[in-house]
Amino acid sequence: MELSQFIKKSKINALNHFNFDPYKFYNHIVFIQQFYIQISVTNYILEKTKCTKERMINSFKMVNLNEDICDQDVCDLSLSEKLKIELAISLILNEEEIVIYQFDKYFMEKDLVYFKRLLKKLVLKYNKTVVLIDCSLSFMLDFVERLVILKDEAKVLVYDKKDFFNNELEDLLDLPNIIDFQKYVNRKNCVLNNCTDLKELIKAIYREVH
Amino acid sequence: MNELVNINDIDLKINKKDFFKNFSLTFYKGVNAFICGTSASGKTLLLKAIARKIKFSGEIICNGVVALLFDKYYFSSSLVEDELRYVFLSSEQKAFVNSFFDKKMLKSNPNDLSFYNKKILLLCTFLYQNPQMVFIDNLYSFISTSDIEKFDEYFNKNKITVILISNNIEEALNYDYMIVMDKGIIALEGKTEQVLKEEKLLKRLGIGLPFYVDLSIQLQYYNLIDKVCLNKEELVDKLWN
Repeated sequence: MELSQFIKKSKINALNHFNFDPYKFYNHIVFIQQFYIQISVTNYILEKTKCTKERMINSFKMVNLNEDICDQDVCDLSLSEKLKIELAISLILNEEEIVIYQFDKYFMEKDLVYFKRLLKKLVLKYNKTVVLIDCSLSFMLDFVERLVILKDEAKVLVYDKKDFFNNELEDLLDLPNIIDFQKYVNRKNCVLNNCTDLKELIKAIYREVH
Repeated sequence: MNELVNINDIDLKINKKDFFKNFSLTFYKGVNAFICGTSASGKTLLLKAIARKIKFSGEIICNGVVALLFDKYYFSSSLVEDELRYVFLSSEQKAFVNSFFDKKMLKSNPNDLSFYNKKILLLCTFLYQNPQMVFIDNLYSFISTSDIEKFDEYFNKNKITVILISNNIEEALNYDYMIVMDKGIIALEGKTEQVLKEEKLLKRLGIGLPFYVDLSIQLQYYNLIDKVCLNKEELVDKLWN
C-alpha cells in the first residue's frame, strides 16, 4: 500500500487525519477499546497476548502503570489508563510498527514528556517504527522525522521535519502555537529562526528584542 | 449565583480503596468551568458520579437539567437521527444538527460514522435534553477549532453553562473558572487567570501551562515583559511596541 511505503521510510512518523479510518491500514492500534463485559485487567491482557504475568508487569512498568491495577475491572479504568494498557499490549506483542491513535488527547504534560522519551527509546534501542496518527502537530513537533498528510483520503502529502514551517501546512492542519507565534512575528518583520523548543525561542526573542 | 450542581461530601471507593473522601464541589449557573488533572485524577469518575453511573455515599443535587456527554465509541441506536431524537428537536436545533449532518448521514448507522463524526454526534446529543448545564468529557480535544466555535456559539446563545473536562491546557483560557484535580482531591480551584499564576504548583502536578502563559512567564524572568499575556497579539505588542 502506498501509505505504508511512505511510513516505512522513517522511524517516527506523524500521520495527519480528520476523516481517516486507521483500522483500514493496521491490525493493532494503540487506542482505547470499549468494553461491554466485566473482565479484570490481567485476564484481558493475558487473553489478548498469551504472555506470562511477569512480562505483563514489566510492560506496565514501561508505560508507567501501577501493578495494583491488575485486579481492577477494565470498565472501571480511566481513559488514560485504558490507553496505557493498549500500549502495554503493543509492547508485549513486540510488533515492528507501533501505531498510536490520538495519543496526546488523553494525557497532560507530565505523561506526554514521559511517553515521548519512551517512544524515542523504542525507536533507538529496539529499532521500532512509531506511527502517530493525529489531527494536530503539537505533541509530535519536536520528535517526528516525517509528516504524512492525508488529504481527502486519496491524496498523500509527505513533509520532512524541516518543512514544518512551510506555509502550505498552515492550510492543511492546526499549527502548534510555537510555529504559529513565529510565523506571526515574522509577518511583523521581526525574524525568529524557526525554533521548535521553548528555550530556543526565548533566546531568539531575547536576541531580537535587544 | 445559582447553584446548579452541588456535590456535597461524597465518598467513593475504587477497588475497595477510598478515592473520593469528603469530596465537595459546586458548579454555578453562568460560570463556565474547565476541569483538568493528570491520568486517573478522578475527572471522569466525578462525571460518572453526577450521572449516577457509579455508587457513592453523600449527596449530589442537580437544580436543573444537566447533560453529561461522555467519550464513547459505540451507539445503541441504529440511526443517527434516532440517537439525536431528531424528530423532537426544534427548528433551531435541527438547523444546528444539519450544519454537521446531511440527510443521508442522519439516516446512516452511528456506528458506521467516521471517528470525527462520532465525536460530533456525541456532542450533539445534549440538544434533545435542553439542558441548563452541559458537562463535556474530553470530546473537544478531538474536533477542529471551527467546530468548537460553532458549539460555543450555540451554548452562549442559549445560555447553557459549559463544564469542560480536558487534557488540553490551552482550552483553559476560554473558561472563567478552573479546577485542577489530583488523585481524587481538588488541588487548585479559582478564576482561571489566578490558577494559571500558580506556575510551579501546576508544573509539579504535571499539568503544564498554556503556551503563551508559559512563554510570557519565562520572558518576565529576562525582564522583557512585565505581565502575563494570554495570546500572540498581546505578547507581540508587549515585546515590540
